[in-house]
Amino acid sequence: MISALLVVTRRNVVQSAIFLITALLATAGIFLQLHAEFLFIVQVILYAGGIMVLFVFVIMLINLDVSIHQVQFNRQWWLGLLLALVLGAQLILAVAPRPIGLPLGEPAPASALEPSTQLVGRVLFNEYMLPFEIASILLLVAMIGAVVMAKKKV
Amino acid sequence: MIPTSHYLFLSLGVFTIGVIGVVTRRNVIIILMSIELMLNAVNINLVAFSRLVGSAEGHVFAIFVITDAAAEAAVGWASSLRFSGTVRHCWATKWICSNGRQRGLVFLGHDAN
Repeated sequence: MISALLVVTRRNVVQSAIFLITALLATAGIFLQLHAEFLFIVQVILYAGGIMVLFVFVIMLINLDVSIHQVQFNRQWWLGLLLALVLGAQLILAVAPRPIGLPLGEPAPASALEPSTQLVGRVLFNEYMLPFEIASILLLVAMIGAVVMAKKKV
Repeated sequence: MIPTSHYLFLSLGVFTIGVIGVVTRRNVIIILMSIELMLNAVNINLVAFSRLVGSAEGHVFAIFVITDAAAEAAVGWASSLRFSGTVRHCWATKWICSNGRQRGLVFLGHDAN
């Protein structure tokens, strides 16, 4: 699965969009593996359906012929390498044996999350009601902002 | 049964690829895609830990992260379309969207600014 992701940042724009679809679907498969069926459905519909259509539309709207011949990478590869090393060191600390690392024991039994969608809905609408409403307001603001920004162009 | 550390390794790999994409690439479209990759890595982590603990709260947070990703994608793409309307090509050079007039100077690996 990670091999599909490795290619994403390497190729040109349209190819990387295709590989991004592959990566998102692989993530959806991992959700299914982790007994998160509702998130699986949300991931497939929202990401692979909605956001990728948006990506492909914008890629079609922007002319690509010039950009392929330009320089694709800037000079900041050392910064990327440094960040990757720092993140790797953090992970090694996290999965180190017990006195340093996290208490990663055996996972909870699968029956703890058994009616998955029902459980998610109950938690979402009982304890996280206010963040849910705030998320809806955020979506409204993003929609208005996107419309205003795309409209000013004319 | 796959242990949780494998999910952590996968998530870290995806997140690192996203970070490297954001820092290294100069195309705004690929930078936005890399941000989506990083958000996906965070989602994998959240769901894996929620599986480890056995509660559904990680799923709820993953739903919020997906919502934010959708909002961010809408605004990001709208702004990139806006820039591409005026500048025609938007290149991020050293965290700044460079102007289209400097495009002729950016060749053979030499940065204009």
